[in-house]
Amino acid sequence: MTTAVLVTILGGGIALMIPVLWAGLGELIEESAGIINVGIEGVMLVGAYVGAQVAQLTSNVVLGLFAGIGIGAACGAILAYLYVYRAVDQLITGLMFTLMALGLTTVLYQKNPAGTALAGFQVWVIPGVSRIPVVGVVFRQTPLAYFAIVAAIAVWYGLRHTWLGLYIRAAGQGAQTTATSGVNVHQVRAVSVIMGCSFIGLGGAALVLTETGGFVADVTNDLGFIALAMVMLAGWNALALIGAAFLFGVSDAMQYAVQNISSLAHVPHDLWLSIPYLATIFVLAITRGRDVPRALGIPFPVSDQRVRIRLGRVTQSIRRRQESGIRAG
Amino acid sequence: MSGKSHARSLSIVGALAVAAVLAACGGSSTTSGSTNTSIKVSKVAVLFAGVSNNRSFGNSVYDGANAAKQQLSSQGVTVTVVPNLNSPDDYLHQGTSFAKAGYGFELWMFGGAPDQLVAVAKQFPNVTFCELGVMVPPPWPKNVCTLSGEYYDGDFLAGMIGGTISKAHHIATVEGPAFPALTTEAEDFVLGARWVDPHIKVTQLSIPSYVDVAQGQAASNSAIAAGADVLFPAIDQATQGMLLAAQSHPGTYVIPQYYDSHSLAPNVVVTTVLLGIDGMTKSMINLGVKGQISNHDYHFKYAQAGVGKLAPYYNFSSLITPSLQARLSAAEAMLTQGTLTVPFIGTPGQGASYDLSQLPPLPAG
Repeated sequence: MTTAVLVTILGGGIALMIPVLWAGLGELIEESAGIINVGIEGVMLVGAYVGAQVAQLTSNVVLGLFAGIGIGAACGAILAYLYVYRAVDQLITGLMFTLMALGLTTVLYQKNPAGTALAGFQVWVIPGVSRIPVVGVVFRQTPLAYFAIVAAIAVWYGLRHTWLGLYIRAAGQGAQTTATSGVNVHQVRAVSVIMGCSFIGLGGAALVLTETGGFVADVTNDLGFIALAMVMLAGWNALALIGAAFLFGVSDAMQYAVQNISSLAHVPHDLWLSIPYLATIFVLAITRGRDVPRALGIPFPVSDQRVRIRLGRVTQSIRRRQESGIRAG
Repeated sequence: MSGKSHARSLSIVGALAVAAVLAACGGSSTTSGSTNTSIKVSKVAVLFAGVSNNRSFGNSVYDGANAAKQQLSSQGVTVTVVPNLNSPDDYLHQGTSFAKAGYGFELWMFGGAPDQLVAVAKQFPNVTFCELGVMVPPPWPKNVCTLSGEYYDGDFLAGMIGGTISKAHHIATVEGPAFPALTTEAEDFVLGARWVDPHIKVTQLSIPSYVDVAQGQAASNSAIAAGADVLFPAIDQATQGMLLAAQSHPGTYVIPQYYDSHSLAPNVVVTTVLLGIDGMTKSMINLGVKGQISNHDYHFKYAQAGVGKLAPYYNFSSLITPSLQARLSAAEAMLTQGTLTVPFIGTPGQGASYDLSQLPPLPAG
C-alpha cells in the first residue's frame, strides 16, 4: 500500500467521520437523558438542507452552519414536545419524523435546489505537524473537524462533571427516582433533546458544507442511523465516540483502497462496510449492554412527574422536619 | 381505548399521512387538455429513479417526459411524472396504484425491477408496462415491453477520449450497485480506453449507493491516489462527489454521464455521455399513447433519439486533438454503418479482459 493510498484512507476516514461524530454527540446527549431519537436521520437531513440553502443565499458558510444548528434546535423542540411531554412511542415517532424530513427536503430540493457547487469550509493546516508523513493529513482538516474533537471532550466533561450533566444522566438512569429527588425530569429531557438536535443539525450542515459540496436528495444516506449505532459502540462515552466514528470513517474509506488490492479484490466490498456494525454487535454482546442508560426509550408520563415531584416535596419536608427535630433534641 | 392513547394513535396516523402526502407530491405533475381520436391511451405514468433536477439520470428522464407532456397536453393526454422511486418495491406499489387509477401505459425508467414488472403486468392485462434496461425471461406477458439503447456506444467513445487524454495511462471507473445495464456503461468505457491504449491501467471501484455524494468522493479520491487521472462514473447523483474529488486534484478529468455536467465543474468535465435517456423517454411515451407498443424489446441504435451522443467539449476542445477527433469521427461512422459493434458487457470486470481482436482495427488518427 503506497503512502498516497494510506493518506487517502486516513484523510477520507476523518472526512467521513466528522458528520457522524457531530450527530453522534447529539444523540449521545439525548440517550444519556433516556431519549432514543430515531429521528436523528431526519434532523440531519433538515440541517443539511437548511445549512446548504442559507450558505448559498448568503454566500457565507458560517451562517449556513448556524442555520443548521438553529433548525436542529427547532426540530429538537418539536421532538421534545412529542417524546417528553406527549410521551409518544419514541421509535415510531422518530421513524415518522425521518420519513417526513426525507419527503419534505426532497420536495424542497426539487423546488429550490440548495447549492450544487457550494464553496465549503476551507482546510486549516496546522504548521509543522501537518508535514509529518501519512499522519500529517490529520492536521489538514476543516475547522469543523477540530471543533468536533473539542466538542466531544466538552460533552464528555459536561456529562460527568457538571450539575446539568448529572441531571441528564440521572434522568436517563431512572426518571422516577430523579423526579422524586425534586428534579424536573421533563425539563431536563427536553433541554437534552433540543441540545442534542442542535448538534445533529450541525452534523447535517457539516456534511454539506465540508463533504458533499451542496445538498442533494437524501444526502445523508443513513449517516444518522450510523451515528445511532456508533453511540452504542462507544458505550455512551463521548471520548470513545471519537474512536467509534473514526473506525467507521476509516473502514468506509478503506473499502476503496482494498478494492485496488488484487489479492483482496474478490472480497465483497460490503464486508468492509459491515465492520463498524459487526464491532457494535460484538461490543454490545460482550458488555451485555452494561452502560446502557436504564431508562432509555422509556417515556415518563406527565402525571407521573407531578406525582413524583409532590412525593419528593413531601419526602424532603419530612426529612427537614426530622432533621430539625434531631437538632432541637 | 383511553382518550390519551386514542389521541396518540391519531397523531401517529396523522404523521403517516403527512409523510405519505409529502412523498407523493415529490414532483408529480399532470397535464390534460382536449381529446384527440388518434390517441388510444389517455393516461400515462412515468416512474423513475432519482429526482427531477439532480443533473443526472433522473433529470434526463424528467426532461424527456416533460417534453412529451407538453407536446401531448393539447391532445387530451395526461402524463404523470413520478420521481424518486429508488427500489423495486416502489415500482410494485406505485405501478399497481397507477394501474388501478386507470392509467393505460406505464413507463418505468429504473432498470432493476423485472420481476415486479411481470407481476404487475399479469395483474393488469389491459395496461401496458415498459421498463428500461431489464432482461425479462420469456414468455413475456402480452402487455410487457422493455427498452434498451446502445447508449453504451457513447461510453465506448468516452473511453476512447479517456484513454487518449490520460497522461498517467491510468483510468478509473466508479460504479454503483451493479446490474447489467449499468455495468455495461463502465465496462464499455474501459473497453473504449483499451481500444486506443491496450496497455492502459484500469482501476474499477464499486460504491454501495447511486446517490451518496460522500461515498462517490471517497471512492474517487482512492482512485486518484492509486494513480488514475481520468475518472468515469456509473453512478447517479453521487457523481457530484467525483467532481469534487477531481477538482481538488488538478490534472484530473471526469467524463460524467446522463446530463451535461459542464456547469457543475467546468474545470474538470471534459464532456458528458448524454446517453439519450430523454429522447428514449419521449419516444416511448409517444408510442404508448398511440397504443403501438407490443411485447418486445425496443432497441435504440446509436444516435437514434440522441442515444450515446457526447456533449460539447467546452473548455477542453484543446484536449481533443485533431488525431483524436479523427478517430472519434471514424468510430462514430463505424457505429452508424454497423462495422463497429460495441458489446453489451453485463459482468463487472469483463471490459478489462475483453479480447480486443474481436473489435475492428483502430482507425488511423
